[in-house]
Amino acid sequence: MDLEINIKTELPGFSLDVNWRMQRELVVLFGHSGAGKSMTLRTIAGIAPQGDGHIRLNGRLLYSKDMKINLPPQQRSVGYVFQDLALFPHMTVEKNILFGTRGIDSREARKKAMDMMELFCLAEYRGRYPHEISGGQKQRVALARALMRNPEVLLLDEPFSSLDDQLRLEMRRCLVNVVKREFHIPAILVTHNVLEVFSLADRVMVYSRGRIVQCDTPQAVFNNPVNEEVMSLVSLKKLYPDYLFT
Amino acid sequence: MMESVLSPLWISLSTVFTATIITFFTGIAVARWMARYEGKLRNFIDGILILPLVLPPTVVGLGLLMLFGKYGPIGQLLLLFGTTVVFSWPATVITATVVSFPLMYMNARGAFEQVDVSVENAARTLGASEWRTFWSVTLPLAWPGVAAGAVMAFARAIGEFGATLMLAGYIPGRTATIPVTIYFAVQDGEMNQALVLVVIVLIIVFISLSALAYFKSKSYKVITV
Repeated sequence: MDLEINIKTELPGFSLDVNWRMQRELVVLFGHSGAGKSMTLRTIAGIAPQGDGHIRLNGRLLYSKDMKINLPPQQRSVGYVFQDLALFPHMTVEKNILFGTRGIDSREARKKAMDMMELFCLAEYRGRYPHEISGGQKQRVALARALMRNPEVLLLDEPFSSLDDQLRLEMRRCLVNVVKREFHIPAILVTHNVLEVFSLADRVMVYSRGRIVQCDTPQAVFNNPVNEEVMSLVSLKKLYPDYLFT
Repeated sequence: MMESVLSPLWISLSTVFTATIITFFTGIAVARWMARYEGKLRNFIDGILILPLVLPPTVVGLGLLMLFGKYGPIGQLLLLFGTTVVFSWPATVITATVVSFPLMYMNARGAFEQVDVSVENAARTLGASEWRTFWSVTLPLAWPGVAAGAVMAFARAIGEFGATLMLAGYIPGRTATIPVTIYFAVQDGEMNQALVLVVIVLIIVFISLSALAYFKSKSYKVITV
């Protein structure tokens, strides 16, 4: 597994200029809001302007300005969990999960969906609509739906941002158990939560104003932040509750 | 009496259903395109599409007459094929379509704009083609607004008077719709015929409003996650 992204995109008031590659690992894109993290994910998925450069996934060019290649999102083989989850509100949990299986034999798809629902503890909610289940269950539906098509890379755009601390912890465990251990799938997680960086990341890329300012293991970033901005992002105050510092 | 009521009823219903089917599909297509169009001409095109709603019906009728009349560009074209639409049943359909289109378009565009782009993008990343994304995700989510637009377009078309009179005239049994017939019945002192037609229009409008209320209540349940 190998994902290589080398993109320069100019937008009004913002530019993204990133060049990095990843292998079978969980990479966290970390930084302040508006630093270009989500934009990077959308660019990989083909749902944002692509600009100059190229994106290569497992040797296959998803995008290349020079070679005039720009695969549509349908052909990129990426699983995407959106920040607002983007579940289909008019479809049941089961139909949401089955949505991406067109082209697969329907009996086989149903069996796979059932296995997936059991894995994510969703089987008893299969007939319910998104507005009839809890926030944590919605997260799991979004994750299961994205994994149903066996994507080559999983893109997670701040999927836990709307959850309370307990549910965040639960979802982090779910992500580690299912995505890393069960599926062995490379994943890119966008977050500005430092706890998620330290509990999930194999490698962290710190974004600032559309550029990567530091790329290393979480421990290395924590021990040797390259500048004051990174230091403030990973400071102990972000890791521990305020009362420890008073 | 029966014939004088049934004939305009049949002409009105056939006109309105045909016009509603045309506005339904063209309205959806144009609204879908405009909902995502961000070009410089957006406001201008939008204004043109809504124009028949704000112009006096007689002005719309005169405009259509200038287009479809013997000396109009479309009228000339039709004459090449040996036909004309002025003072014929198709003229009632054309006017009903033109005056009702803005209501269908505005409602459908509003409904499409309400559909979260990330939900459509989710469908795309799950392998759905643009066509499937539209039919499986966009349209079902926008459906209450689209259906409400169709109902309002239907209601507007059933009440169309001025433009119809200009382009289709009043030919009993051919172009005499209910509103036009009511006007001429009152003018001729045929109050019974006029009142019966008024009651029929009220029933149709009441059914339309009930359908509108149903679709409005439906939208809350479907769109809320």
